[in-house]
Amino acid sequence: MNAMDISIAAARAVVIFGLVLSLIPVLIWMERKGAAYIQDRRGPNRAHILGFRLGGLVHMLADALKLLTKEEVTAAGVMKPLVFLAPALAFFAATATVAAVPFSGPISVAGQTLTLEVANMKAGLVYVLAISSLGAYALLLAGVTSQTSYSFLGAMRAASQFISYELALGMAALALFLVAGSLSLTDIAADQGAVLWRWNAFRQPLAFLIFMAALFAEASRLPFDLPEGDSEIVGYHVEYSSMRFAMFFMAEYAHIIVGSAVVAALFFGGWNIPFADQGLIAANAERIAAVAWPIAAVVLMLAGASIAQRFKKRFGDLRDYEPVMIGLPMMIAGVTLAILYAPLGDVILSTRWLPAAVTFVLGFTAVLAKTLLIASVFVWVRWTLPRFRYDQVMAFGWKILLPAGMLNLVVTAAIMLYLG
Amino acid sequence: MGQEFLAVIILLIIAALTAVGIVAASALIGRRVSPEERNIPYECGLDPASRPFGRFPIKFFLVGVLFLIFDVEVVFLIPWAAAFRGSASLGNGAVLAVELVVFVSLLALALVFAWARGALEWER
Amino acid sequence: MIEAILFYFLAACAVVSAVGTITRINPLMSALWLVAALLSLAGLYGALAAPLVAAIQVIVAAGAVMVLILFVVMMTDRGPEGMRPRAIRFSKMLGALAAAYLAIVMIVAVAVPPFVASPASGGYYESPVTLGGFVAGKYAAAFELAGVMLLVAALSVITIAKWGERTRSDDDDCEEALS
Repeated sequence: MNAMDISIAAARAVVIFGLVLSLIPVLIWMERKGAAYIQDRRGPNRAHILGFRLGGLVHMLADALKLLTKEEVTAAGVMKPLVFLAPALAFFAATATVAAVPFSGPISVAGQTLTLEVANMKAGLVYVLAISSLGAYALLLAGVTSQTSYSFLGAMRAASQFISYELALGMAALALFLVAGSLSLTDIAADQGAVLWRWNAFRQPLAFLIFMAALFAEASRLPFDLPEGDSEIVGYHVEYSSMRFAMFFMAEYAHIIVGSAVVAALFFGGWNIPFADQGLIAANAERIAAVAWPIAAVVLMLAGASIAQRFKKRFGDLRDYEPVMIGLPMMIAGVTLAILYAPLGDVILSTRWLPAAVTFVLGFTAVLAKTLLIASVFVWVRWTLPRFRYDQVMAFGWKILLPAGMLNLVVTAAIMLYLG
Repeated sequence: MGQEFLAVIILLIIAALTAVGIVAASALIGRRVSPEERNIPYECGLDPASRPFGRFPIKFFLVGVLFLIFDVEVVFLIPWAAAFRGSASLGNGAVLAVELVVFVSLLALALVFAWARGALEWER
Repeated sequence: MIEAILFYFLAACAVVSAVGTITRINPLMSALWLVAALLSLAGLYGALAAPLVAAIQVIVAAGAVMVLILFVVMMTDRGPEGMRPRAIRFSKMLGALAAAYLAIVMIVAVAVPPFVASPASGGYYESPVTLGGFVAGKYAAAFELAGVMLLVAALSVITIAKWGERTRSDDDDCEEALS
């Protein structure tokens, strides 16, 4: 092990963790805009930095700053270190699971095979289950250290729900191990390949449904959001305020992002694009790039124009100029791309690393698109479904998901045996 | 120990440091004007009348124990599931499938018993 | 080098948290220190190139057993008066005997020849698939017996937890009729 290895390892970890961390505000923005869309209103759109509102994304920054500067109320008689430990643990358990998730297919560069992932662990999915099972401690500690009966009751209910659905999660994962013959997320994604009906969402529909339902419950999202049920239940975090409180929700969104990435790898082929496998993309990289370049130029020009023409005096401050400030640079970029095509096109299109770059970009885009699409299902469900009652949640987990998982496992083994 | 294991360790360290860092930043940056009354644990505006711990419904304990048992089942099945495809391609699949059916039906029996005795009923 | 640092760090964590486990009076803190000890053990397994064993250690020992123990600690806590250290008679003598026994075992284990210094890399425990081959092949009987054991555990715990429910059923019926 030399300095090179260490720096590559550190770079992998930092890049992937940064990706997850930067997706959290994006998902919160998606949530608020999605809620606004479903409830027929506009959602966050006022806050700005120098006139740039970015469709309301700046609000997330404002929220973070506001929460950080709020007063932290620490109730008398609580166990101080544990009160601080609980939200940190929730966040840790939600983000550290990302280590096993592949964000791009294997790319061969200069004789080496690289993948955008922290590690291709042989026990990848088991690692994910293990780390996420530590989330139960965050719930228990938060509730118990607060020294009130309400948070204690909330913690017990939350932890009971959490551990019940962990079983269903494990059962659904077992069927996937069976199909792929490996515990590694990268292997499971690679095993599905680029053929649409070989994706596990179609080969293992029952496991998919169980896994999704359990993931909703693990992240305590509607319809299973009893641990935090904002409107009627006093949850495990009554005694929490300011950013310490918000950590639980950051953990929830991190859980959704990592969970969606895991589902994308497990059930939707990860980096694979339907009917265009990695070899095909690498072989036709030059053609893809040659087509994508002018399309990108035209799209940039048109999009820039359509944004810029929305310029109107509305606020009376810098925000009025936002469409122009964003639209014009986009148009200029589009025109520049189009002009550069003539002198630089042949040079870039014939470089040696083009196939690797094209496969990487397409694979990474596929993973990101699938992840955000699955995450948007979480948003969609949250704002359209009512909440279960607690006994219904427990009955659903123990009486439906767990037996269904067992049945799915046995049936999968039987089918695999029959098909050889 | 390879580069990948090191990367995982680094990720774990980064995640832990970030989590602790945010909590610490919040504790350091936040303003402090708390009056005494605000530091009383929440109990609908009244002075707390009860301690949180003590006698508690047994059903939570039952859920915990049943979870432990079925979790161990899942864990036992993990290496089995990893080996199944390889063994099936060698022609040993039927043996492994029989093992699975026996193992899972034992645990299914436990689930049926729990169900019949009302251990899975919440409202009782 | 890094391996050595990692090993000593994790070993120190394990020892410190084990000491924390037995010196805390509050059972909740004691249980949490035990969780830390188990997690450092999982880290040691990981450093020994046994990822599956490490993950299973976290799932079962830290994720399931300790959660259950925390449940129990929370449900049986009897307030400040229950937090006094409790001394069993002869506890110091018994403790000294147990410590002496452990010390002898460790000295013998290190001093007597068949002591495995460090497991060779590339062992069967490294690959989940090979490990699974053992579980499903050579140790299939133990695998099934574990299933029987789990079944017995489930049956007994449900029976004990639901003990006496029959005798109360008359009252329940009355309440149901009233409500």
